[in-house]
Amino acid sequence: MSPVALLLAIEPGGVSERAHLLLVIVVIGSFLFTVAGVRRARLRSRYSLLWLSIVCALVPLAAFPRLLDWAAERLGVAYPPALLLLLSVAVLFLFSVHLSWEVSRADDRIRRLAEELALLRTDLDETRRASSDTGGGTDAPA
Amino acid sequence: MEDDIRTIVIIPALDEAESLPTVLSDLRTAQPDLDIVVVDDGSTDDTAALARSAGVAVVSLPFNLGIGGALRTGFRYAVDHGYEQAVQFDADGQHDPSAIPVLLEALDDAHLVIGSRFLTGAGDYRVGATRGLAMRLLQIMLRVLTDRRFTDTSSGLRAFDRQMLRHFARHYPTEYLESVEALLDALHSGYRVTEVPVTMHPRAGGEASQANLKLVYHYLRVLMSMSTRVGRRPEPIPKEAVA
Repeated sequence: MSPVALLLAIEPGGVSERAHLLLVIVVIGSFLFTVAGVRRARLRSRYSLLWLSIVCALVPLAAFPRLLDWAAERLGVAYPPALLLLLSVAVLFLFSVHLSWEVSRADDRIRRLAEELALLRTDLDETRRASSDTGGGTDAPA
Repeated sequence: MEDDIRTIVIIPALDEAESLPTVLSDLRTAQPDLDIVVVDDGSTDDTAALARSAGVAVVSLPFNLGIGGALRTGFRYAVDHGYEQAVQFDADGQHDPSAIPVLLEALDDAHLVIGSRFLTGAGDYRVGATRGLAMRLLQIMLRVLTDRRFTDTSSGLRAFDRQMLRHFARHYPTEYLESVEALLDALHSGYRVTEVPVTMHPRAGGEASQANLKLVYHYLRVLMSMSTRVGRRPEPIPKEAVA
């Protein structure tokens, strides 16, 4: 049996009790994990909000798996899990592009700070030297 | 005494403790009137200490930023300290101080002067086959994008006037092969750029060639960055009131 046929053989929509339980546990776990991250202020609030809303969107889906079948039918997607995968890939893709952008910006800022720091240190050294030259070296212990 | 145009030599240096003292004393002997700043790009050897004991200005970066970051720091130093011209000079002994007056003279009617190893009129300088091919490719790209011919796009011996310095102090590109991007940026923003022939000594030691795959990656990156830059609106050249 080919993998494709195997996938098609699974009855879309029907979720066994055990799988449903697993789904609910995973979603609740993700929710608690995200909330914990937010509470300990490890995440910037805008990311917390984003992740929280993504997890919140998963809760009704976990509770009522038939929702996915309904949405897929409405959108004309023959195989409902494909819709879920498509949406997850789209969200993750957009988010990782956004993170690349953030990292580039943070990197540029760190570089500029390093340059600024080096220039300031040079200025400070020069100023100290000049003042110790004129002030007879009283205020600058070498 | 303030009649002369204030000029500074910017020397980016990464772990050049071996060659730097000679380079500095040669520069001093040949061009005693020029100020010097060494930008230590996070060296782990005595580069900064040696430069300091030679009595030149030293800007020590807290960690390695790459040649582009070191240069941008040098340009900012020059602008902050009121210099009107700057020369970029290598710390590895590749450059000849006698080329500096030639560059500065050409700066009279250009914003950016590039010292080229390959323009006829100077001694010949050989590079490896891969690097030669890569350089040729960049040349062709530049020619397509700007309609100008440059023979030595990766030269590290260049002179900058005040306006170019101010532009580069803010916008100098920071990634590998930065000189090509900088050249394109300058041309695209409307700065006048010329090349003059110079002779260079072959590199004494150190790493001359990148791993080939890495080089391919960087050329692709530059190609992409160059073609997107052309579509962008350039920042206008600042009008300068001559004091």
